[in-house]
Amino acid sequence: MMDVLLEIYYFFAAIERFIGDKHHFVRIGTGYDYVLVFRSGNICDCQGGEKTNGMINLKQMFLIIAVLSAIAVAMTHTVTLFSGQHSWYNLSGSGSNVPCLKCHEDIGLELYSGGVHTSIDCECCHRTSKMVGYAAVNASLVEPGQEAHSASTEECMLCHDGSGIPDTNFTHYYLNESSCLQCHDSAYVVLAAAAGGFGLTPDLCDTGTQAAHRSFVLEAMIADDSLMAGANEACIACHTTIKANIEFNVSTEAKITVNNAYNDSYSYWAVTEITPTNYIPYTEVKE
Amino acid sequence: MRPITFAIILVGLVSVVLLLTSTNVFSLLPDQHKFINIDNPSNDIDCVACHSRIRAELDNSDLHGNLSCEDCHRFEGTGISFAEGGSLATAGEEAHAAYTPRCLDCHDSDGATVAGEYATPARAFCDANYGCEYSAHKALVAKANESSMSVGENEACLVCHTNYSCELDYTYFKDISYSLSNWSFTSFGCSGTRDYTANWNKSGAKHVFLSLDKIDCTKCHENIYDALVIGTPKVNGDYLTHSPIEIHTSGTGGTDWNTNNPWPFGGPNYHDRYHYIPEADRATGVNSSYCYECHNVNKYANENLADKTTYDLGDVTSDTYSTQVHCAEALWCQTCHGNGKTKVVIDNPEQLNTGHSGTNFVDDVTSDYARTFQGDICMGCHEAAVHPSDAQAICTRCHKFGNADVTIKSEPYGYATNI
Repeated sequence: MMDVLLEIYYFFAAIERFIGDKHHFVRIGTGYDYVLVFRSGNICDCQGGEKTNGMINLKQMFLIIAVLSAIAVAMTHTVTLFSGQHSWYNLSGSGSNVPCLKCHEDIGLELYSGGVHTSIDCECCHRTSKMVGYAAVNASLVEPGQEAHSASTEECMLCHDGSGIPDTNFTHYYLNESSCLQCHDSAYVVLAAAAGGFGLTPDLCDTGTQAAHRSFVLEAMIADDSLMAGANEACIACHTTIKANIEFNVSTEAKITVNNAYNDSYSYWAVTEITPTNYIPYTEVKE
Repeated sequence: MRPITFAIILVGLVSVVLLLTSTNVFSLLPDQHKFINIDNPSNDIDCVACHSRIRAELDNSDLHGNLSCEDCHRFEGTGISFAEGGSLATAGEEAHAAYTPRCLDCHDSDGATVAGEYATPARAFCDANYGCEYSAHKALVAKANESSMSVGENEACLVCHTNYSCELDYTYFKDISYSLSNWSFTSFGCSGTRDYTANWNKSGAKHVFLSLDKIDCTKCHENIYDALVIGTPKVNGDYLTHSPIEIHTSGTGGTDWNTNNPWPFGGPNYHDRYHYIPEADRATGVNSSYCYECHNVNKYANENLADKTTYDLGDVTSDTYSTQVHCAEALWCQTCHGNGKTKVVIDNPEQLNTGHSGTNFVDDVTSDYARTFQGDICMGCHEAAVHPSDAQAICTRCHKFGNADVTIKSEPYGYATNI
């Protein structure tokens, strides 16, 4: 016990050395200032920054701490460090019953700030992959989760690939039944438009052969160490307000090889090669 | 307590407080869930956010500066289906947000109206097979179309019409030699290979489009410019290929070719020569307009009405294919000079109908020798190069009897001997 008290004493002494001013206040609680001031080994009780006559010595301090410790030991209730940690959510309902926004409030604020997807629940994107078995309770059948527990990071193309059920990898199995109209109209037509023009949808007319950003999308898809799933880097870069640094490396010159082919009676000029050269790098910053 | 122990405890306490008071986790990439509204038809994504440099280039461009990104890169005249938002959203087929346009998509034979302005057809190159075989740059455009560097023929368009730089590595013959006997060839040969590199250094910006007057022929054809302006320096007059002089041995002016033009011997049509530029004017006078004097007679005539009258350029145009080419015609002296041409071959009066005007000499050059040699065959004499010291005896040898032994170097030099 004495060792603990001495350690407390040393701690407050260190605070004094750290502050360097023996009259600094340490605000504890709200509405009033309770100040412990060390002065020549004494602890004084001060109010409003004025020194009072209620100075106590180290022995008195130890006594106070001993009394408080006795009270703590005698209490029938312990104080929970993390309040609410035993208030369990009921998972028996359909869909996800865990409020994602408790931890991801910032994402909720982004979604609800405008644009598209403002009325779509988290689970409609993050618990909808047919390739993933999520933890769930369906009709009292407990499914512990396989490839993911509560949520997965999914590709934008999961919804925007233009495939129709059952071709799509999308599953409604884990969704709340009340969320239908978030993604379907009253005739149950899917509202998510296909991201055509990259040659990635089943539409035979979707060739993407002329798409200026196709290499961007394809590179986002094939990069093994990519930041996001599928082509999401490309989708996110354009369709959200995310900041992006784009490093371009562009040719500033063409090298053209021109040969004059000839014999005595016939000749022609032949352009045999056109090659881009003199590449320069530059960076675009999307704010 | 040591300070380091104290610091660790303090940081730990602060961390615990933060952990206990914050229920949120922090997003690694903020704003990735802040989706842009694409409810409007056409494009709602701000191209300039990622392509500000290109917008800045356009803002400094002589042409196309008034166009938006969408005007070109979502041009509707191609039949390409782009992704569009709005109540009737379309997915996009050949392209999603944008495509890389072919310049001829707008500048084809029909032209196109873009942003309220008519994009004029790229004459000749917008036609099937890029106009006639006399289009000087047809090989460049055809190769550009074949190249995978850019779509369509854009490489060719860009190097001339924008600030995209170009380096041209030419390979051609070094010199030719021939002998004449009474205006008939007794020998002909070429030798050597000349490598020449021309650089048209510009800023490199492909979206800075040049006004037509800034397209400088002499940059890509610097070897010809040098042949016209510098040539092979010599004490009594440089040897300048590509700049023919009129040869005469009598009449006013003598051989003072720089300042006098006696042709046709002080008669009513006495005038400065069409091709020749006095030495003092060469550095500035050899420019694109000078090139057009021969390589696009129709254009030059329309832009220089006084010369059109003076030199009968209306008739000369009919000898050329200049109305069927994009900017320049591949031609040679015989295009305008020869039997049946507006500018017939003439001789001094004393050789009338006996010199090279009285034979099929010029026509034979056209039919018997490769295009690439024909101009230099003429220049072998019309450059009036090195003559032997015994000029009196030799004059008649060539000027009267049509006997000559000629060697001439190709551009950019032009040193020639004519004995």
